[in-house]
Amino acid sequence: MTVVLFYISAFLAVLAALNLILQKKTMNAALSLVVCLAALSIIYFILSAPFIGIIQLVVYAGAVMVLFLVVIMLLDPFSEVVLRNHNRLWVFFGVLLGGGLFALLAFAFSTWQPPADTPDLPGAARNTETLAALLFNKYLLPFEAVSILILVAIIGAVVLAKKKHPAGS
Amino acid sequence: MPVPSLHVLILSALLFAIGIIGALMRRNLVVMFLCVELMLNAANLALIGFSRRLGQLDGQVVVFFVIVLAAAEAAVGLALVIALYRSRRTLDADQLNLMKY
Amino acid sequence: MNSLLLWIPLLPLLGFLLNGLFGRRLPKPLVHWIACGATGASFLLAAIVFQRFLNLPERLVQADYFRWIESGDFAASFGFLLDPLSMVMTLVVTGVGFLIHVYSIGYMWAEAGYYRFFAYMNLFMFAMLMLVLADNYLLLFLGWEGVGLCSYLLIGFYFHKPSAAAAGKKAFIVNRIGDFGFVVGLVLLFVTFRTLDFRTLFAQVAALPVEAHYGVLTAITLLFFVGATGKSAQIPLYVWLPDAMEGPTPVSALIHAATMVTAGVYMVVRSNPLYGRAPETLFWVGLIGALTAVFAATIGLFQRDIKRVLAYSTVSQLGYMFVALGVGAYATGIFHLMTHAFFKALLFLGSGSVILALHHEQDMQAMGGLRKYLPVTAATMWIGALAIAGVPPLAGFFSKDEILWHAFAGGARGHLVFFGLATLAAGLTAFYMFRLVFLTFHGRTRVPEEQRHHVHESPRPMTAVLVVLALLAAVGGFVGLPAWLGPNAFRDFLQPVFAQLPPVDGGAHAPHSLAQELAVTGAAVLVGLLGIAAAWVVFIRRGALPDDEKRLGAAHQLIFHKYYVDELYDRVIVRPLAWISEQWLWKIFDAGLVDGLVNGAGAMVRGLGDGARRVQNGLTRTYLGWVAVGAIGVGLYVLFLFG
Repeated sequence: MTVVLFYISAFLAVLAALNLILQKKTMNAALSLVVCLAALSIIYFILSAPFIGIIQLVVYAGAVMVLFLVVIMLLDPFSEVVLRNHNRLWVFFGVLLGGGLFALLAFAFSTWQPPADTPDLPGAARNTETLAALLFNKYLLPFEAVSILILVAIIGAVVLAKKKHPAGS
Repeated sequence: MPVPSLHVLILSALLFAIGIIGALMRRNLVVMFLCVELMLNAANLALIGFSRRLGQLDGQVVVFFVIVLAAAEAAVGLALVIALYRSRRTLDADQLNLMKY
Repeated sequence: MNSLLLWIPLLPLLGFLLNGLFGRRLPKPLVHWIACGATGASFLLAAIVFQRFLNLPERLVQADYFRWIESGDFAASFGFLLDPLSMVMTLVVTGVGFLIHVYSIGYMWAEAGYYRFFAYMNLFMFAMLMLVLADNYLLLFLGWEGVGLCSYLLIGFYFHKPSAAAAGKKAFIVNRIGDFGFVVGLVLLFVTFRTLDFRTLFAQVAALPVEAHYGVLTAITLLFFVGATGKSAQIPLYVWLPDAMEGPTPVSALIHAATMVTAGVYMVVRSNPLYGRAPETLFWVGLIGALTAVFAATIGLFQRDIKRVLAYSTVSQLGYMFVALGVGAYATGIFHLMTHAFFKALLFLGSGSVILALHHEQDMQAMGGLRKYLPVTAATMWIGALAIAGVPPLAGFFSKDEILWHAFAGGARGHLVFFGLATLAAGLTAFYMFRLVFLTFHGRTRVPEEQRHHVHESPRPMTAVLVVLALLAAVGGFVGLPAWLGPNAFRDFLQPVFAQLPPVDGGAHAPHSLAQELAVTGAAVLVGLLGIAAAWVVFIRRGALPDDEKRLGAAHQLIFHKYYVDELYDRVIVRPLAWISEQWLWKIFDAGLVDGLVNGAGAMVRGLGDGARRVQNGLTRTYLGWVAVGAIGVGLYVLFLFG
């Protein structure tokens, strides 16, 4: 059952990703990314990472994408007109490089020899608890550093997006 | 029957490749940005897959950090896009060559 | 003791720094008080050290101050080695140096650049003391180059005079040739023994089986001797020393007679454990020394410039010292070095007094009869001349006689040839020295009428120094009495330095009798007296003048022009070198090849950069594409080269 669900979600994610890059309208592209992220969230649940799945939905598909949509709505009427055509050459290069990267990664993954016996991850009920223990013990310093980074990002975003005063302050 | 790890990883590689193709062929800054987000998620998926296969939660911790970073990056990046649009009146990446030699 | 020792060279260095940095603003008396005070204090320290040194149970002090250079297994310390040899050298250098500093007060008083002169002199004292006190070859080399630098600076002291500037350059370049040999020798030494420290090295050499490393040791010692020929003005590199007389007279006395030029002798003696293993080299040392002694003495016969006579005399006397080293009589070489420092400094300073009185007239044709005007100078010059001529019981007699005796009795190859040449040189020396004395102080004065009332004795500091040096030249020889007169205190004092040596002369002293030694002494004295008598006949009885010597014709021409050696060097070495430098090295190699390479490299980088900057087209997508390319590259690298 879960396996079938995985393949359905995977198919959905790939389809949404393709739509994202082929869609002419920016708004539609953003919405297909939301679909893709949601599908990935389901996959996270299946891969016994329920906490990350929830975070994915709430922070990513929720907050971050809303931010994208707001910005797109703010700017879209102008961008849509200009940006319809793509250059053949860039498409060619894109496919070449993307295909090359995919081939390389696929080769690397398929030849990877994982260790034979590995412990099972803790069950869904203990996932969040164990993760928290790791986060606040082993990864405490990165955690604090990241919190400072967030603060900097907030201030930076405000400063950058602020309307410039004509007096030039 | 559990999901084979290889398939998870292949899916991650596929999404990553799609992301890079999109970033290269689109000219709209916002769409390029979306493609970058897609690539980040592909990397997250790979981390989750490895985490499960190796039975270590550390991968999930890293994914947590990546999501936090992605949020920060989105905030700053979109602020940049807005500032850029205000000054240049365009989102066409081909029109923005201020980084030229 | 160690810190006292350190201050001996450090005080002149301080004096140099004070005078060199602030001398321009200091009043003249302060300048010479600083300079003379520094060297005087240095001499006092040396005397105190000497007194303590005599009371040491083992007369050897090695003071390591710090690690100077450390690189791989190469190490050189900054340390001093005080043994009887360096003790003698330190005393001579500081003592004579101090006297000459005091003399300079009078001599240099009227000159511009008074502070500069004293600063250089102090720097020279520092470098020379480093040279004699060093406990390893590298530090010795530092002093060696330091005295060379000071010599260059002081020869060119009157740098506005083209001949002085040229003489400075000549001295420097000729010394470079010798130093090149020395450096190659040092490298060879290090490669062979992995150390440059005297004591470690000599212990290693002493422990070697006989004949081991024979070839390498011969090469090293020969290369060292090349360095010594440069510094100590031996054939073929002696040509710089006569020209060095362009410098002020105290410089000639201190650097080019008493101390620096003896550095080569000191270095060979210091390396005696090496030379003891290389009899082949010793033969060459003796031969070059003997040839130089005669060769320079003959040139001295016809020189008209009073200082040049003394310069060739110095070259000749240095040759004498090398003869002593060549027959393995190191202590005797150092003995002659010491007595020579006394009487040659005296002679130079006396000539300086004459030159000063005559307002820088140096041609002996324009002198004569000066003893009336310069009584002290004349008297002291007489003592100096008698000493160098080897008239007993003055200092020169003892040292010269000892050299001749060792050359005669020694077992080394060619010792009788050395003896013959040295005896000949002794006669020539006596002749030209008294030619100088007679032409300068005796006969009727040839000083122009209107100048005569200007001629008067030099100021008190100068005459005082002359008297002190005359005393030393008179009695300095008594520390090294010959065997038939008493104990040779000097040689006994130095003996520990040579203790580890097998006797070079093969114990050849034994079969020679007292009668033979007395005969050699008698012959030496007789030759000296003959030379003096000949000079008396020619220059007093017949009243010959330098101008009259031209009548001797071709021989006079040849010798007066110093056998045309300078012209020969110019033709054979200098001009071809200049031609090659100009036509090949400059125009083709430098202008064509080197500049071409440099400019070509620049142009290539420019072109490459011009092409490469096109990549930076400012488009985000291009950069992203390159990132992807890079990612693929890194991925391939990791996958296929790492696993």
